[in-house]
Amino acid sequence: MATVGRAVGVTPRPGFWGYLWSWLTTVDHKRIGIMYGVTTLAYLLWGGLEALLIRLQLSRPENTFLDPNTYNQVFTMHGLTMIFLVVMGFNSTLFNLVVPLQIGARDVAYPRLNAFSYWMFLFGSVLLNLGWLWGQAPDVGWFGYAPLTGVKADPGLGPDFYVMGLQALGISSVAAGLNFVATIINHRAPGMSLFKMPVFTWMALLTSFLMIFALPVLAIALIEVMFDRLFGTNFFNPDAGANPLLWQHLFWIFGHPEVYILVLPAMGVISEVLPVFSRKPLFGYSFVVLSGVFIAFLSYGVWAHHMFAVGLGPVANTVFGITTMLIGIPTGVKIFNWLATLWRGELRFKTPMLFALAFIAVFTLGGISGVMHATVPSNYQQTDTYFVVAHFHYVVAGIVFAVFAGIYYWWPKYTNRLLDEGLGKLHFWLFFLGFNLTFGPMHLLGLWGMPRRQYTYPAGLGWDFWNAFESASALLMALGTLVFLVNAVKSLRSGVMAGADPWDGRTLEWTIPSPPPAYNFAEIPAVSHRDEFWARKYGPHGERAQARAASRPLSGHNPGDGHGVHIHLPNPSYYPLIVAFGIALGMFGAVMLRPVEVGGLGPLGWALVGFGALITVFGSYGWSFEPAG
Amino acid sequence: MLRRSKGFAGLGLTLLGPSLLLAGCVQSVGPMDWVGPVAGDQAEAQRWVTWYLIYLGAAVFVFVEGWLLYNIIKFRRPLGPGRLPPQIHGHPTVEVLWTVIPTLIVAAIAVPSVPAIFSFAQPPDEAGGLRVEVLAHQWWWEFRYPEVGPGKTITVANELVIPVGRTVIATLSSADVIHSFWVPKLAGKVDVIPGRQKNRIWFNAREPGEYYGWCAEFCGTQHAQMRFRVKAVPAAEFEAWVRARLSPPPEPEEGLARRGFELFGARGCGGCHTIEGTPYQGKVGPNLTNIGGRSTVGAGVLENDPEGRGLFRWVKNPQAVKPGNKMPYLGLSDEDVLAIVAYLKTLR
Repeated sequence: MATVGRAVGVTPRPGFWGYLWSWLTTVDHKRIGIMYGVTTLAYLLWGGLEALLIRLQLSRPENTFLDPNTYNQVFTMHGLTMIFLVVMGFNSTLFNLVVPLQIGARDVAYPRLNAFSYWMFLFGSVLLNLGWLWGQAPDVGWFGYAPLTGVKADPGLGPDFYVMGLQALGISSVAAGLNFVATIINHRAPGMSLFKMPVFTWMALLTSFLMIFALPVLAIALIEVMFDRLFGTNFFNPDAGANPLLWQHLFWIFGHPEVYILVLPAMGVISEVLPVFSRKPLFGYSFVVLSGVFIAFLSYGVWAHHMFAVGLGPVANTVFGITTMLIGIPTGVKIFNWLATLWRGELRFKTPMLFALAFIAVFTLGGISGVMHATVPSNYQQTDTYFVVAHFHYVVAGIVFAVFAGIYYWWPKYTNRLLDEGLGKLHFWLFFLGFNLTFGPMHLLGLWGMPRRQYTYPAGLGWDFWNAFESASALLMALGTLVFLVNAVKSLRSGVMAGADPWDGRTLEWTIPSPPPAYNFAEIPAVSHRDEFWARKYGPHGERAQARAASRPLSGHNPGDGHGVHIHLPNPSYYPLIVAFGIALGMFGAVMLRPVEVGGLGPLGWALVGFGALITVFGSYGWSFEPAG
Repeated sequence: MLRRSKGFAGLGLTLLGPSLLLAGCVQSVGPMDWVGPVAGDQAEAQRWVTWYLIYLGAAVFVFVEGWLLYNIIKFRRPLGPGRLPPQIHGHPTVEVLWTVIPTLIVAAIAVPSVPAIFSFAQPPDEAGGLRVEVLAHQWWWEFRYPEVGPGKTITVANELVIPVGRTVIATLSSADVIHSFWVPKLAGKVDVIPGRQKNRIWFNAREPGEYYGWCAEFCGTQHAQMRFRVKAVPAAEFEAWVRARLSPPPEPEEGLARRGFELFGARGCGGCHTIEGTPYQGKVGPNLTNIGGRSTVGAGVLENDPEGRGLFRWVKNPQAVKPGNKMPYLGLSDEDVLAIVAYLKTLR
């Protein structure tokens, strides 16, 4: 074949290396989204494995399956993996896969920067996990409270990998945030005013702003820890007069907006899925959007609710308790609007809908326990117990329901194949039952005084049964995830063909073929309605439903499907990969500046730092002068 | 507010509520359970607020999940081709309604909690309270009584003895990283911060008993086994305990205990541990002057049983009991360990 192709002068079909090269150099938001998705899925399995190790260790009192240092590494890495690599990774996945299609754009505003974000994310995630090779993964908790991260308390490499890994991931997030703000502000199809934008895109916009403003605070705090560890500064050293609480303030000024960075996109997914599977518009669109805006603003004013026990005094605690409770109001507004969306709808219980409904169910409980934490007197007892563990799993692990809803919903757009409904429902029920039976009893354990972050606990304190029960239940979640993997493979091999609009969708992504062509939209659509596609099919108020049932007009028609039309698409580029690699190598070099006795290279680490810097400079130079094509 | 709690719990029993939680309400699940019966005024107030929240939360939970289930059941039928459900875009009145109602609920939570927050910050008996200094170490607790006599300070480790009924005012400081002082049956947590910020916590015990304490802030390798006990005894017994602690225990004259006393010096134990009235004045590890009378060994990790099995396990190989703690494995023979345990048992 190939020889024939050559003989007639056609470009030969690319081989494996050519195919790989096309992915390494891609700047297409769809391919970048797929790479994010695959990476994130791998980390979901990795973080899940860490969770199972935790549950195995805690399945009975005084277990010796893991020694304390290993356990501390495992629970730290479980948290970091699930927050920074899985949930944030899925956000980036969905932003890339969905936002440009929803706003009728051909790509993001800065395609090469987008590729850079992905490569930085990948290398950062590797850097964060690299400590395992030394047997010294981060072991200070995902919150890394000073002075436990100081060289005196922790002379190993764990905190260094923590600092550098998070720093790299932060660079990725800020770049992605800037990119998506620019994309959503500038690249909307004509006619799509802000209040005609799909809610998922709205939440992506808010999340992007949160990332731009929250992560630099973490960056500064991490640089201070790095200087303390590498160069002997005293930002957080109490022996030299520092107040280590400074770290907590900086960390949570980042850390609480981070919680909304995690959850707002999930709320966006729910706001897309519910209307489609209720065949009704989202109830109270502007209230859902504005309560998201309100949450985003408030999220910067509540950080000290993580610090009620540190001794800020009653006035500060009262103020932060009340600001935190205020967040419950817009959250409640969202939940009520979702319920009203279902009300009088025509509910279709496809797998995405099941996951979306489950998100509402578990998120409600997470919200209630959240308000309980915000109540300071109760918080003094609850904080640092399993009640908190229950709470944030109902919220953050609850986000995984929205993630799965999103995957089942948008999967056919990218594969042109449906996921199997039978396996999907099995996945759902295993996961939903496993989730509640694992994290539900943690509420009880917390009220019964079981503290967090403990590798062991004595028998006879009333905790034994429910710990064993939770450990067994966790297996159901693992099983559910495996069913999903089977479903994914099955769908790719032999799934039912989906077509352009398998769910009777409402937004622009369902107007184009599945999978979308490289240029997305042959013609940029003109938008005149919220839920533009639905309005085109049924009329803005559903008045054409009868006519449509009779005629079934072609969905997925992409007018003038690109043939003969010149569409400018950006050229592939390997510079984003090179720059990200250079930065990550330099950061690894900074870890290696630690003394030889603990596993570093000492001053030789500067060679790595310098080499990384050289690659970065070279890559940036090439990037800057790359022809636009 | 504190007194109302019993009536409130009784009322709650007759109402709906998760039965498992109720089981925890009427009888204590264990010594760490803080929603069952508690023994301190602060813990009682916190327990009251928590139950108030649980019932309020349960009502919200039932309403929201109930509406969700209602929707799922009621609107599950397909409408048939050519028909669409009513295309409702929203309704300003209900939006206002469900913004105002959560606001009222939040107010109903916030308002009663404020006086409690301020009451926890101010000891009820500032002048008459018993002053205690807590010094947290990785991974054990040091307690000092600075005011027990003119120029005298009592130092103990991992077991705080307090008089029943009297307010205890503890000043918290840390020798290394951040810890958190928590005795769930008596009061909620206050963090123990290294450096200049010395937090304060007050608590009391209404009844005599031994209350479990636990470090509640992640503090490194052995955070899980940084525990302690608070022993509340009647006032007279407390005075007797103070007097006994002010006069050091006698040096053993003969037998196994004497050999243990000598080994304590010969094997270097005295370099880290203090036993008052002896040459052993080490300041690195816990003060052992009353180790024989304490309930636990190794910061709440092993029972200090009368036969000395717990002490034996600890002295024989502390790294096997509590891996990573700062007491090294000394490689003592069983005979030597038995002798040291016999000596330690005499220290009461």
